[in-house]
Amino acid sequence: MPNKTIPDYVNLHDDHGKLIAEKVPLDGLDPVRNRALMKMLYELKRTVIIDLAKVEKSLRTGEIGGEYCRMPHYAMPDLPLLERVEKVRERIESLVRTSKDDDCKVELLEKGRQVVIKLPRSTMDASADYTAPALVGGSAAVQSIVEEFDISPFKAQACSSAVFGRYPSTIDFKGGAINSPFGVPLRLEHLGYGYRTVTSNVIVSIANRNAMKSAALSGCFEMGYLVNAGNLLGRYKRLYLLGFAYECLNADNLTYDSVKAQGKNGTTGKVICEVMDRAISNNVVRKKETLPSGFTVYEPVDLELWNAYAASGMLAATMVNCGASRCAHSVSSVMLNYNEMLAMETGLPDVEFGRAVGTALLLDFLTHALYGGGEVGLMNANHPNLKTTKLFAMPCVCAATALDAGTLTYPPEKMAGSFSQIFKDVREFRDPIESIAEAALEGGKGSG
Amino acid sequence: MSDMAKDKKKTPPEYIKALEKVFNETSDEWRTKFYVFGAWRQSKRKREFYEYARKLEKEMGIPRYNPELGIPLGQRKIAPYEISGEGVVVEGEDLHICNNAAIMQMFDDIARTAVMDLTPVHEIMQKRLGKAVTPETLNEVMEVWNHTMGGAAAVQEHMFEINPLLTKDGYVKLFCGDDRLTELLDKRMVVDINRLFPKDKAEQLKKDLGNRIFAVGRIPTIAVRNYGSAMTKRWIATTCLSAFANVYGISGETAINTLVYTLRHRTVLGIGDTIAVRYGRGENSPGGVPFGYICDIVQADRVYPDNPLKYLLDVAEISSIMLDAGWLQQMLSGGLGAPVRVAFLISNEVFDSVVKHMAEWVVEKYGGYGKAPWTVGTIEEVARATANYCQDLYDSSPLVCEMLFGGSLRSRIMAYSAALTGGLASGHPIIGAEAGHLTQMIRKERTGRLGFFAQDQFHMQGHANDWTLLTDQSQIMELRNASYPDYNVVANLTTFPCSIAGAYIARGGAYACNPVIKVAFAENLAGFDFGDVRKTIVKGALREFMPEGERDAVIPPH
Repeated sequence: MPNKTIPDYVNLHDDHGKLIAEKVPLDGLDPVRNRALMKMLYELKRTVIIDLAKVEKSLRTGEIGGEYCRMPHYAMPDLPLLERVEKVRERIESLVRTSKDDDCKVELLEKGRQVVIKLPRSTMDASADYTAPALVGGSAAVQSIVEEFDISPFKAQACSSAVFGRYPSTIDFKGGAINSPFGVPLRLEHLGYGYRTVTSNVIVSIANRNAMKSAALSGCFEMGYLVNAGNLLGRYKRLYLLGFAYECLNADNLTYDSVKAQGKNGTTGKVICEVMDRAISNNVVRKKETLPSGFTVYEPVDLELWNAYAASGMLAATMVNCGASRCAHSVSSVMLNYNEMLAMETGLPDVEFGRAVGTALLLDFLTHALYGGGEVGLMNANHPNLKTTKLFAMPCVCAATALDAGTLTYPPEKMAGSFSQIFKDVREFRDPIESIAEAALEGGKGSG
Repeated sequence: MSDMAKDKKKTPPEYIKALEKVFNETSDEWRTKFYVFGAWRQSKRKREFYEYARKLEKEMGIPRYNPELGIPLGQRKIAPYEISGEGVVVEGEDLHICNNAAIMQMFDDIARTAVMDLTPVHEIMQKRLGKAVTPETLNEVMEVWNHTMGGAAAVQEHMFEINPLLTKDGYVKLFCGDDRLTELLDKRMVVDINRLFPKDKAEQLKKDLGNRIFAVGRIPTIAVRNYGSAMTKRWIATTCLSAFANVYGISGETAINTLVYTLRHRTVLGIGDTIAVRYGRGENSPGGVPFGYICDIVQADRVYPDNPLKYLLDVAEISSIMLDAGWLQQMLSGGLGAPVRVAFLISNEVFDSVVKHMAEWVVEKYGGYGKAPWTVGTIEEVARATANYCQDLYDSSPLVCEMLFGGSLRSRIMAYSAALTGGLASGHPIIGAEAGHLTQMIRKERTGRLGFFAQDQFHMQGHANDWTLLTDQSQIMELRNASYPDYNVVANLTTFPCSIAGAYIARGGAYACNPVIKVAFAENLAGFDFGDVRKTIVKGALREFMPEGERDAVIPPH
């Protein structure tokens, strides 16, 4: 059962170390009780980008479906899609909007080369899963293009294939123009993993490369997964709420302080020392015994809170190391080294009781070996490796990606650049920690 | 009976001669005898099987094959099949997928093929790893890759390796649209587009491929048989990486991981797409191959450029084997029925004669291929002409109906020939497919039914689906596959490749859908001959085809 010796309230600090909310009730950080978190999850879930420039190119050349398919009999060489993109946008909006005052948004991006579609709440409420934006938005785009340009029935399905690619013959939109933050449901590793399909590149792009905000957003989506998967319940709830607060929301300024203190000359070991100092002084851990060799064994006073401290330190160590090299690739080594050193030097449990170190070890292999995997920015928590750590690994991966200064072949700007534009007007994405803190103070009931 | 059918009866056409031969009855005979054929004993193959099974029962101690246990339907003549244009008579059993080594190899050869676009990989080698990529290094990569393709190690000599005799059919070759570049490569490992294709087609292909360098790989048959078709892309990517690691001296680091990610996930092109879990197959299975790819896998247009009908017939045949007989009836249904779908399109001159007639009709009606307007009127004209011709054929010849037993096969001949005709007339596959569907409506009005329920469902929905923009039913024909929403459990899938193939021939050019796939199947060092589908199947039926993937090298002499 949860240890109740320490009250379940946290003080949250922003990414500049400034105290922004005191005595935030832990229960208020549960997505189902926090309107800011709900807003972020909702905004992400209802959004899709359609690459109109790609649609135009496909339809002009007959290169439809990707992988060098080329069928000139579908080509419409003079199709002025980008020239009349505002009219297409208006048509899309008229199809997608359910009432004149709903929250639907259809906006052009990149000088009209892309259109972002945010479905209204009623459509999302009526849909069974998170594929509605891609399908509704894609369908609206197809119909709008066909109608705007009065495309012949003999070429109309080419518009559909230009937008949806190989779908529905295959399970996703391969070769098409749909750009969704989510992977398709048929590629989920397990049930409830929808939010885990968001890649590090997308998260970092939304956070505009701010490392702490990237970690925060990553944590938000992991929390969405935990709710969806039935893992934010009962005996596990406090573990993950505390972990979210400390690792992702800079509770007690622990992450910020460690990075600030160690950023210039620090090492992973020194970050561990920082964390241990705070944990000892705050009575989160205590000495258990001193062995004849002189080695001191510690034990947690509050296991879940200790885990949160340790997770916060893991993020700090990532930021110190990946920040120093401005290179994301070492995040796996940092996580591995951090957890092993922590456990070996203190006798305390490492982050999530072996899960983080296991993930780190395999991540090291899969991001460095010839057996496949992919770069850090391409990773998501739906990956066979990262899925095994709940909540705690992805924030580090995202922070590392954010701190990378150009060593990635598949960086956020190349893979998910448009996502940096589409949530600019949503305060919850701009200032996730502040927004979540405010919402928690408003709505949290406290865990008693 | 129409005048056309009467004319046909005056001079017996080839299909009547062939049918009279295999059924041993005249075409004028409208009645036949029942229960006099000896049931299964009339088949030489079934008698052989019966004898084998009795021996097996003694050896194994459990019941084996025994046709006596079947429900007797002995009124039918079990006729052999004369392969159209080949002058060879084979038994039906010899055309069953599992009895025909050539057909099995055809499935394996598609499943074991993937193509790698090496251009992005070379960019990573140069930009991330600072390596100089030259024709010399590429030749060296290809040498090592052909070594690793057989399951050999390129980096560590103490790895356990595969006996090269088991994997001798695994290989990789390069192709490129730029002759200047191709000239610098080791000829042994180049697919020579200029040599393999007629000049005009070669020029078109090279133009569309540009200066990108592709590698077509065929993993060993034994690998795909052991590990399944989803193995292909992985095997090719990993063996490629080993070759790069060996030649450029790279080992574990983030850049190599980026390289392998690129190889495995971004630049490797499979033949069959991923399909829904419920069908139980991975990538590169027949259920995921786009119909347009099937048309590019067939190579008769390259080998016999002056005989477009041969190409059309080969596309129909390979589609019928892959989609109807193999995918739907064997892999999805569980192995019952349908081997006849290998036989009926290539036998007794029936389908050949229909296609030939309809091709002539196109020229007569529209003045050549690809001249018909893209209108609903064209669809109606093609459908009506094909339906009338086929129905006359069925009405005028009991032997044709006996060969195309049940409504199912008659429905197919009509739908497929209409699809070919519509494509051939207009150059647009939707006209072919729509004509195929409409023939079935016409036939239903004439006879009150089609084949069996699955065929009815598919053609009934066809018109609604072909013109729709509904998200899960609105894909161009070339990209659809057997896992397309309306096609998961239905027959007559061959309609679509036929319509695409007809349209391609009408338009001209060098490929139906994808130049990379066209070149990738232009050469097959060991395996099925996609340049002559029918002849290769006959070889299999006559037990003259030597398949790959045998285990002789590691089992006792037998």
